[in-house]
Amino acid sequence: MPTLIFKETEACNSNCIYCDVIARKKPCTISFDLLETVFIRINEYLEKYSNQNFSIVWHGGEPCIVGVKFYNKVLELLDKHCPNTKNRISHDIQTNLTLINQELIDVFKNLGMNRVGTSYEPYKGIRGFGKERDSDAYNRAFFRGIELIEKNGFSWGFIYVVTRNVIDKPLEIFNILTNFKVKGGFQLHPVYSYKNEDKNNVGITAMEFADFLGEIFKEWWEHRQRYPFVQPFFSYMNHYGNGGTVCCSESGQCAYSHIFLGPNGEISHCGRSSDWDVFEVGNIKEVSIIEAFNHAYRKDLEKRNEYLLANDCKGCEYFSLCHGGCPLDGWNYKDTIFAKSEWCAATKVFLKKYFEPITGLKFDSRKYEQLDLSK
Amino acid sequence: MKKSGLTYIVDDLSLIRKNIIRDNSVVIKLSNPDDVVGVFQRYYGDYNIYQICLDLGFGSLSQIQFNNDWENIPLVIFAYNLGDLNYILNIVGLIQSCKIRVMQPASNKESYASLKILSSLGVDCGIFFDQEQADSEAFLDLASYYYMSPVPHASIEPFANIKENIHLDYNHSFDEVYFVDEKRFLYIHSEKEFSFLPQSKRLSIYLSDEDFEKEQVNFKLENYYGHFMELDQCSKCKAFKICNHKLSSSFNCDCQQTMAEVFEYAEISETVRR
Ligand SMILES: C[S@@+](CC[C@H](N)C(=O)[O-])C[C@H]1O[C@@H](n2cnc3c(N)ncnc32)[C@H](O)[C@@H]1O
Ligand code: SF4
Ligand code: SF4
Repeated sequence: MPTLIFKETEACNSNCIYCDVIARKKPCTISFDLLETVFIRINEYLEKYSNQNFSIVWHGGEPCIVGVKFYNKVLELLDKHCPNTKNRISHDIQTNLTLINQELIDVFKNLGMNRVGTSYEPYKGIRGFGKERDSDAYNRAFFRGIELIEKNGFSWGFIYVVTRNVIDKPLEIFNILTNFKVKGGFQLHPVYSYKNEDKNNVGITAMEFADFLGEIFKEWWEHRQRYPFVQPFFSYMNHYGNGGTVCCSESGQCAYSHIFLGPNGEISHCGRSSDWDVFEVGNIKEVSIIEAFNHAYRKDLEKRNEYLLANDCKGCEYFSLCHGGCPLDGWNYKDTIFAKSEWCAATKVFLKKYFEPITGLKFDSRKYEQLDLSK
Repeated sequence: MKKSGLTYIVDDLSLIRKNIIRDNSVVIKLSNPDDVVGVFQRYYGDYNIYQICLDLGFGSLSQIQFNNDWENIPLVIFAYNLGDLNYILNIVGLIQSCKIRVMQPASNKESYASLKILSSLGVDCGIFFDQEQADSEAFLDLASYYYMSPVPHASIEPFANIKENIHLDYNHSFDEVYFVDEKRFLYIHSEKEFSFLPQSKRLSIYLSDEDFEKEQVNFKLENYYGHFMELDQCSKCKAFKICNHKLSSSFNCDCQQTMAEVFEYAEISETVRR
């Protein structure tokens, strides 16, 4: 099933310190005319592939900033242009929750949503409104948002971006996050920085990230019944146990899984490739989704595994788990997607130094190779 | 104001009126044991009495002249100590047949032994936190007795509540044992005013449903979410899930350590049970 990362707007009410969208993009929102084209294109795709489903992730910028009128229009366009395919289209949203209100929740329910992805940062000065990055006002609005979605029976999970500000207090931040989110789960990932510019000095190294995860993992493992599903731990356990896939960036199979659409109709591969202006595929006005999925760069992505196995990742026992990491990180590191990610060092060190000794689990690459071949 | 499903707490009998209580359950606070039977008999037909809460202050459990009339009264008694143990042992059969929970203060060293006695006699009981600091070792010893002892015994709060709720998918404070939980209890002060805590801001009983819900959220923002705004020691505490800041100044040593151990005991006993 293809996933469309749809940044219908790149405007945002927040000023998060690490955000490449607000740093690199203009605060544009898609026009209703263009939105209409998008649904015509989605319908065209689904008419052609009648056994496929299609997932839309409303992203941004801040997807709540466009207001309820926008999503009512989406419902209208689904009825108008996708009458026979809309049942195969599912909707998710990644929102900062600070602008959520009952009207928006009602229209999200009409789109079939019952969960949201969000982001949380307890420390001040990282996520916040305005020039001063007012985190107190931001978190007050965020907490109200959580209360409202919970009242409406939505589940939620969040992304926690690990920055320099917290790198020396893994257990403290872990306790705060797990106190805040008792069940369900959250995902820890490092702050990414375009060409490692790190203008706000929040970047961390792969080794720092490995040790950060390692310190947390000791505690999580010991009390894993108590704690929620923390990623990436949970997927590593799943992977070591039965070869299940880890997240998209380490799947080695994203060539045909994702497509990105921006507010001006620009097509790319995913959120990060768009933020960093990699893989410019054209505009939805001229290029159909079917054509976008046949674009030449996807063939390159498809060849990446083979290339890495013969080069950067040659002989690495963990290749079948990490696949050289996210191609975008490879590009960010060495200007080519045929390079491995600089974060692969974090994966290796974390698994070798912490995960395996703590759990007693042993990595069996043969199992995964077989699985990979069968995919 | 949205009233259904909540329990109202009153210490002024003149407030027990249909136009105030409506169909909510009610906790009636009393301080004189002689009033218990009469008050229960007067109100139980017309009202859903959740509990009668008898606060004896520095009084002893043995000062109560229990008889068969006490049998069906849902009662929680806050007493300083047991008092005359012989008397208690003599009437223990009667107490067992009543719906009684006996609470004793954490600051009274005697409480820990008394609670073990009551619990082993099959009487539900518990510890409550007063202004004075508690001995964390004695508290942990009682916790380990409750969670680990193979000898049959009745429930001891707040340990029973912690154990019961340990798998909930949200933070749960055992404070409900002490009638504190803004989603469940309201303190009624007069015909016009209520509050979420005995001492917290007074609000109008005539709030619309919508405004009442807003006040509930505001209360939660100030209290529960306040820890995550301030990033105080509770927000970083390993025992927050079971404690939620209730014991910050209750122990003679680090509350985190004490409550983290209680958490472990509760988890172990749950694992053993499952
Ligand atoms: C760009 S935001 C858009 C959706 C919404 N505004 C939000 O914040 O959840 C999507 C996610 O990307 C994360 N993010 C933004 N900039 C990042 C960076 N430089 N490195 C890692 N994650 C980042 C955010 O924390 C957020 O969880
Ligand atoms: S809320 Fe999301 S889009 Fe907005 S600045 Fe923060 S990370 Fe970026
Ligand atoms: S044990 Fe202490 S620090 Fe922990 S939540 Fe309770 S009062 Fe707060």
